[in-house]
Amino acid sequence: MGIRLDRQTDREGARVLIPIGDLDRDAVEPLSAAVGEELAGRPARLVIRMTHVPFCDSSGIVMLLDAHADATGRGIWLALADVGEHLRGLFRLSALDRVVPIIEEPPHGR
Amino acid sequence: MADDAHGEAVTSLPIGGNLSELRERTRDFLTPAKLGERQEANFILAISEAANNVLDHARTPGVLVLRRYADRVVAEISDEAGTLTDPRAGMTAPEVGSRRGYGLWLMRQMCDEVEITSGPAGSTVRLVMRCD
Repeated sequence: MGIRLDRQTDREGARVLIPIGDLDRDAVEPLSAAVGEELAGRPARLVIRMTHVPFCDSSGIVMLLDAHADATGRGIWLALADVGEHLRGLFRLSALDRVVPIIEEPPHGR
Repeated sequence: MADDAHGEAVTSLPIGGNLSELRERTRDFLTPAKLGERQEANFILAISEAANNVLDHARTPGVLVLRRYADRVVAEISDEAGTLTDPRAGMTAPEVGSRRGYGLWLMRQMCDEVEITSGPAGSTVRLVMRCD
């Protein structure tokens, strides 16, 4: 089953993308397209909420680096939120967390 | 799948387009092994990375052979193209922000043993995770 995507605007006005499923090679295209659509809307901030991503591999890491670079190039702040313990370890090991901000969302912001 | 009296088992899975199904079937096979939750997640990531390499580079059929023993699990990912020839590939971390070079590096970080072999019949990556 492919990745699904929900979208929201949080209380502070940031756009929030919520992928649901594994962030692997098959998810790169749909998630990249969704990020592209969101960035085209020129929000001040774009958050990718990782709550429902149980798995991410190197395809996902590269996709997230590209999304961050694309956002930054357009002057848009992009961050990952609600990253689980296993993915946190992966993002530390791959040094993704030295490039892409990882934030804690306030519980009331959901 | 064959299970012998010692609880050892082996299964062979084709590496096709859909890796989420491959991970699901791998997870099912690993369930009886005494791997911790983190170990299982790490092993499945490593297998997925090896399968990515086959799909990215080999462009020929690949196969995953899983073996379950009392004290360890082993995954052998093979392809006929034999594009993976450097036994020391993935020994160094990719640079910060790199867009490539994560696959074998992650396999080596995730598993207890990683061995790359290549020959006329193709390349094989052998991943070993010891049970706690």
